[in-house]
Order: sequence, then C-alpha cells, then structure tokens
Amino acid sequence: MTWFWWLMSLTATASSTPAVAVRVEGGAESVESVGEVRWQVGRAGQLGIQAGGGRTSAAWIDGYTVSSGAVATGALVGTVPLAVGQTVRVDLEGALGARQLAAFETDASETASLRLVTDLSPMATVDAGPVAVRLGWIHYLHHQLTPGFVLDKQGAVLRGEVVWPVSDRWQVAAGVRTGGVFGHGGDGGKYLTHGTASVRFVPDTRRPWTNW
Amino acid sequence: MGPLVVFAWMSSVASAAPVAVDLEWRGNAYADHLSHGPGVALSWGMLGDHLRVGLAGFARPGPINPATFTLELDTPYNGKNALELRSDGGAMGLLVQPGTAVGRGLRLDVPVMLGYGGYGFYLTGEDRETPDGALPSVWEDALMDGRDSAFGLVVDGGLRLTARTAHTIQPYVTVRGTTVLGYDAYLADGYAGASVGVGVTVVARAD
Repeated sequence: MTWFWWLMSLTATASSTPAVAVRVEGGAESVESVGEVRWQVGRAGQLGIQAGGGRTSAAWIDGYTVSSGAVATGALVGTVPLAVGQTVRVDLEGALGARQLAAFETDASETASLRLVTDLSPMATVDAGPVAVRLGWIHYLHHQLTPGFVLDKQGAVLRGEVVWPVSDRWQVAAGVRTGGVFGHGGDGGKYLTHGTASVRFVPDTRRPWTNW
Repeated sequence: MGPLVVFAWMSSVASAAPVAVDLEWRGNAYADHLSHGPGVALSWGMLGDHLRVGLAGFARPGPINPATFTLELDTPYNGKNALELRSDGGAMGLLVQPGTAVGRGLRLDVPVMLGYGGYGFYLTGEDRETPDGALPSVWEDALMDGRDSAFGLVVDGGLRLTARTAHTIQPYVTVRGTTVLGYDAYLADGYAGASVGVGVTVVARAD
C-alpha cells in the first residue's frame, strides 16, 4: 500500500493550475515547435507532457541520411529536485517519449521511423536578480525502434539558458545546447548546436517556476 | 505504477548534501595531436564537501576539430590512394573528487573518473559518398580491418583549482591525464595524453 499513499501525497500536493509553455527549438539542421503543460508535484517537482513537430534537413534512418523530413514528438516530462538552496538549486529533468520521422528525401529504403526518446538533464538554476541563469547538460539517449532497432543519438551536450520573468505570470527564456553526439554506428549526427526560445505562462505563483 | 511512486518520492526529497553541476571546455593533447571538446559532471558532496562523488563525461567531437589522420590505401577508394579521416569519441563514468580549501578563496580538487569510452576514425566530406552506396561505416570497417574505432576502460584524473568567489557560479581550471586502457585502432595504438580545461561549477546547498 506504500505506493498508494505516495500517489495520494503526489495528488494532494500537485498544483491545480498548470503552467504552459511554447518553445521554438532548432539549429542549422532542424526547426521544431514544442508545446508543454506542467504541474508542480511533491514539494519541488514538476510533471507534464509535451508535444511538438517541425522540419529537419539532417536526420537518419538505419544510418542513411534524411535530407528533408518532418518530425513529430510526444513525451512525458518531469523534474525532480536534487538540492534546493536560497538562490541556487539543482534539478534533474527528464523526458520519456516517442519521435516519429517522415522522410521526404532520403537514401534509406524506408521513409519513416519511430524513435524512443530518453533525455536526462541535470540543471542548476541561479537566481541572478532580474533573471534566472540555468546551466547544466543534457544526456540524449534516443533509440530508433522501427524500421530496425538502432542507437539513434547518444551524447552529453552542454546546456545554458536565461529565464526572464517579465511579470508574475509570464516568462520568456532563451538558451543554447551544444556538444558532440553519436548514433547509427557512426553514420548519424556527430555534433549538435541548438538554440531555444520560449514563452511561458505560469498562473500558479505560489512557487517559483524558473527551473524548467 | 512503480515509476510514478518513485517520481512522487523523488519530487519530495531533495538532497541535504551539496550538489554540483560542472561545465567545462577541454583542450587535449591526445594521440599525438591537439583537439578540444566539452566536459560535464554532476556530483554530490560528502564529508563536509571534502569528497564529491557522481558522474562525469567528456567528448572530442569530430566536426569541430580540424585535425585529420592519413589512411594510406593499397587499393584506391574513389580514385584516391590516401584518405584524410577525422576522429571523434568520448567517455563517461564514475567521478570521485576529493578536495579542500587552499589559500584565500581557492579550492583544490583531485578529480578522478573511471568510465567507459573510446575514439574512432571516420570518412569525411566527399569521401562519405561510398563507391557502392553502402553506409560509410561499412567502408570504414573494411578500409581499417574492422578497427576503425576502439573502446575500453577510461581513466581520467588530475588537479582542479576553483575560485571560491562570492558568486554561485564559480570558475575553475584543470590539468588532467587521460588514457583508454587497451586502446588499439588501425590508425592509432593509443589515445592517451594530457588536457587542460576551463569551466564553471554551480553548487546548490540545501538551506
């Protein structure tokens, strides 16, 4: 019955009003739009869902290049606190989901693939006056499930972000991710640089929302 | 149901120990050439923060490093008798980092990482257009007798000096030595050497 009481605890402490974000993420090889809804859970955690999609000009199916395609992603996202101080905290963010790729131009014999997306990201959030500075890294572990099982993307990528609460309920954020990745037995992407820009609405102001 | 229970528990129990996130950029002198790339770490402080234990990793991405490695061929590949290959790789593992305050406003650490990783060599540019349309990795295997890369236990250790400034984001410098035990690839029989790094650490301490 322990799990039952933990779930009751989670439900009782979850904020009733979710925060909502819209993010644009991309680099030279892709541009995607992502929508996200999050609830505060426990004393300092977050749980939510995200969905998005966009275009790519550099993806891979079974190691073969996709030079033009569309992607759609859905994931369960969460954040658990690792240490929480007055002006700095460290959280572990995670995402577990799926990513569908439809290829318009490719050397591969298949024109679609499905990937399992697993991301883990330790992130420090520093209260720096009018803004919050977020520093950390994200470890990508993506596996292509169909048409064949292949390690699609793995690597630890540096991550930095600035969050600006423009009002009690609105935030804007901009960030960058950069680092080496590996996949498809060496035939996949080898380096990633992405920029992110997001707008967030946080109706529940009882707790800080800068750590996402 | 299990993962939700774990998540609920983790959402409510933050660590009482300090937790550090490190980001750095390394300049490497590995395998008789110069290279650079990112490094990361996440660690928990113990024994009054005199010992940090966690995970660390680093990478040497190929696309941002200009060094190439000549592969001489007996049989021409796309009409070439020699190819210039690029190299990439990295490692991740357990970090054990004893450290203490030294002098005024400095902290000296001895980071040691034991992990798994390796490095490989790959076709680049127009050479990725293979003669028969096969994947480049198939030709890399064939051209280098299946030893286009090698992996093994990685030992990475050295010294780190951190400025204990009043800011929560503190800069540091490192000097390290690194080796991949048992490394033996076609173009290199070792991938060891020294590195220097600059980075920042952010430490969260529970109030």
